[in-house]
Amino acid sequence: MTRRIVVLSPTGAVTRDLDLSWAADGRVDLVLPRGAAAPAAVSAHHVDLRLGGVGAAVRRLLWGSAAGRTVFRLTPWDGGRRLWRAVRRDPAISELLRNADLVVAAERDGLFTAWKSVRRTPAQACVYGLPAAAAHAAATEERNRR
Amino acid sequence: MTTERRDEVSEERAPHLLYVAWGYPPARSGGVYRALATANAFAERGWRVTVLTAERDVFVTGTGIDPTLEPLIDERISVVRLPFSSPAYDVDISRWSYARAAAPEIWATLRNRRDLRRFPERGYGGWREPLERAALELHANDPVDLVVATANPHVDFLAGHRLHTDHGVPYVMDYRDAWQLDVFSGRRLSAPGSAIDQWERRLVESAHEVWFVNEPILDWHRALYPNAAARMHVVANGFEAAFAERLPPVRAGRETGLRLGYIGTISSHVPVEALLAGWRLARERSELLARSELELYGYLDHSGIPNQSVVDAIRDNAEHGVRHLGPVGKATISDTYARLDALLLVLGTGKYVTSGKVFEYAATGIPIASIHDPGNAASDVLRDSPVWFPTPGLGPDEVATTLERAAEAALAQTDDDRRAAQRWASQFERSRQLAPRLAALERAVARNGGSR
Repeated sequence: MTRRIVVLSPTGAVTRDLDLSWAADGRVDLVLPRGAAAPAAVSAHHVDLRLGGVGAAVRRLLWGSAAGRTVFRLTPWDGGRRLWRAVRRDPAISELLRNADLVVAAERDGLFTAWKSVRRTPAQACVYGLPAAAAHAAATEERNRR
Repeated sequence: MTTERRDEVSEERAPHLLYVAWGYPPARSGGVYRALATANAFAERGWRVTVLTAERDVFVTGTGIDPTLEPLIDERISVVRLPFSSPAYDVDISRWSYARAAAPEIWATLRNRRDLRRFPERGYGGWREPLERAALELHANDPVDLVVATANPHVDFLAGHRLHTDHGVPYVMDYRDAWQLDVFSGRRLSAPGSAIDQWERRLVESAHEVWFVNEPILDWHRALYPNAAARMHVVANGFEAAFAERLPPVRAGRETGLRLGYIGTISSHVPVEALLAGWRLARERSELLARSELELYGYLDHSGIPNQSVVDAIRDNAEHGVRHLGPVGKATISDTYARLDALLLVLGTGKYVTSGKVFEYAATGIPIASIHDPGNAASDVLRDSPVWFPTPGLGPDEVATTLERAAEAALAQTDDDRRAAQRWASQFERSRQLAPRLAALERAVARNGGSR
């Protein structure tokens, strides 16, 4: 059974509908932007992902077109990179990621941090999306039963 | 390639159908019901059916599944699952490169460009080779009499095209939507002479039959391919016969408050904001609706990642009695309908849009409030229904009035009214849509000297 699960939701998009039935009795830690509400069943960890003045101005400038969004995503202000920096600054979340059995990037901006985490701790599983997390948990449970 | 052989004893003289559907149970996508029903219908009529589909993990980890669908596959069908790889469905991040993790959009663009060289369909072009190879192998081992493929993805059509080109096997193209037509805007999606245009022309020209889900989509294609007009047919969607065995009765206790419900995937095309604006206004104007609830069932997008704008809209309307209750398994959907007193048919705009759920909605006999453009093809299905309440437009006042009318009908509906509406809708049972085409295909295969 998967015991320690970290779910990365840097926009807070999944919190309201977070179905954690697949996690069974595993411990779930949810990384969220500051101010986002979390379901009662999880431990929430909030990080500051706000864009500074320059980043916000660049975003406003580029976000209107597909090409502009692509360029913005290559800058240090990209949501994925901002999350990674915030996580590195937070020893408690860094520790959680190091000890996790499963890291879930629930949305796009969680991908880079999840990838960095699995590079540091190759034994952990690391998936994109909650359906994939549920499938992984089910497969792990099945393996443990056998 | 893995094969799930459902029946060891096969009828040697029965014709062999190769049915191709990328999305097949346990997939949860909308088109999966049509695929499931079509393959089952052939098996029930005595065909030996082999289904070519994508490997199970694609759905388990990529899109989410409906586990209640797999047991509904006819036991006589052999299911062959092929490896499938696409950026959208490869969710194991530990296998990703730095470039993919750091710049997923650019990585996916480059990968898609490579796939598009194989077949011009983003995300699916790479499946062409495994699909064609598997079809040729199957035909070599057990000759195929007919191929039916359902799209999208349109790469599904290539198995039949390859067997036709190499071995003269006839094939049927079953379009659930369209390839070159945006069914929402009515706009043509690819330029004349483009790779997609050339491929579709080639496929349609040599197809034995081409199926569409409604007349407007067929008309559009008839104009594009007049030489194939005689081979084009409407095979509308429908509700499953098993669903009709458990139709919901009128719910007791409605006077204390109604439950209005939407069941289906809530994609970005679904006008949720218009529905909720109308709902809030209706609750201000109607005491009945003020004590009622609006229940939304289904995934909040086609992929596993919820649509943020829908998530926000539902959250912001929780105080107005709006609840999202998650997806419903197809096999247990009758229980959900039994909870509801009025149904909300909330669809994207487009005269080519029917949706599959309209038939199931109709079958229940529950009053239906249509919250979509009146010109949608779905209106043609429901026009004569005794329990249909279409909105004249998507403004808050129009939607609110429609909801009030549907709610009053829901409160007043008797058991006799419900049964009458259910009898009216029995015309939409799926086997009635498929039967004429299956009979015609059996005659054609027999003429061609098929096994039957």
